[in-house]
Amino acid sequence: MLPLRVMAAVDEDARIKRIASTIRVIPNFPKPGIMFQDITTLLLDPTAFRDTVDMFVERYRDKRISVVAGVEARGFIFGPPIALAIGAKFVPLRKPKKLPGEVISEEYTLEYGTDTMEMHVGAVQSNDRALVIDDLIATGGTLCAAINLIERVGAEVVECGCVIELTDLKGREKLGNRPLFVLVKGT
Amino acid sequence: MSAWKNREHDPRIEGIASSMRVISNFPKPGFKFKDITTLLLDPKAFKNTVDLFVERYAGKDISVVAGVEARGFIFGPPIALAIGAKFVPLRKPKKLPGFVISEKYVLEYGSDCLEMHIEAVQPGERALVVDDLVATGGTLCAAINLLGMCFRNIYFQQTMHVNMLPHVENKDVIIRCKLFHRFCFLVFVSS
Repeated sequence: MLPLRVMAAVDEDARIKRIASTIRVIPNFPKPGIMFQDITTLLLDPTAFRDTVDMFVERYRDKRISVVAGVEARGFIFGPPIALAIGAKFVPLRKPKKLPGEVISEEYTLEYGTDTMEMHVGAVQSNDRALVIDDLIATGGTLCAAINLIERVGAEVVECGCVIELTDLKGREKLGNRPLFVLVKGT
Repeated sequence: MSAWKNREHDPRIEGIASSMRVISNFPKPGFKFKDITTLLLDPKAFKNTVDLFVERYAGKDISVVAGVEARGFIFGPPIALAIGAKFVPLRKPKKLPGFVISEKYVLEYGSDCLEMHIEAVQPGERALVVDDLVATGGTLCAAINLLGMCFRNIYFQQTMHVNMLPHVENKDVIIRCKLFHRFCFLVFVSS
């Protein structure tokens, strides 16, 4: 009989292997040379999807998280189940002009040009402890914009959580000292 | 907003209805936009919303929950996870990376398009379509038609009754369909 902590590690490893195996890579999308990490096939496997959410929930349930912020659009798929399970608010971070109320905006750099991310005024309070959730971290630009929006209202970003990290693009470094937790590392 | 009068009064509905807000003149002058983001800020109301759907659909052999981008991505996945179904995102054009089928639908001004990955659903599956709101029904009809392209006869016994004109197997054909609201499961109806 293996010690409980070893059994837990073995189980975690099995779940991560399953999750990783359900993600498919689509070459040359959205542009030539890019290997796109497609999580839609993960969502077609109810066990893998359940395991993905469970691994985040297990990590965060005792960390007094009051807000889960999800980045449009794939962060909307993973964020809400986590928020529901840990009893936190869910806050959508959206492209411009989608949110109907008063917003604060953060501009961020893309490979070519810039984009803007918005959050409703009043959604996050200064005493909130927040998670930022997205399906993937690449360069880290999007996550940094999300972190900035939350910190601008005085709240604390406890951690960023992503299903996939593209390690070559060094997004982790761009986040600086903000913790990042990922399930699967890809190149 | 008023609760759905024909349904048995569920005490959770008042809390859900009151947690939403109406924003005037968004996205255009004269519109009254029903904003669900304030519901999402109320963990109890959000949980009750999901629970109402899960209670209705659990154990009904539903293997697919299809959610319409983007607010359908918020409500669909928790329902899918709870009932053990696949989640299939229905997206605006050029977002899905694999092979897709697409469906055009009519807006007040112009048209838009919804896409689904071609291998996401199989013939014989029982599907649920989830979105935050139904207005004219154009988006939901497009979603239903996308799912219907994958198999010849669809029966949405639990969710909606659809009256469709015969159509050609051409993905760019605009298909008109009417939703009969009395067969839709709506948490509540707004006046």
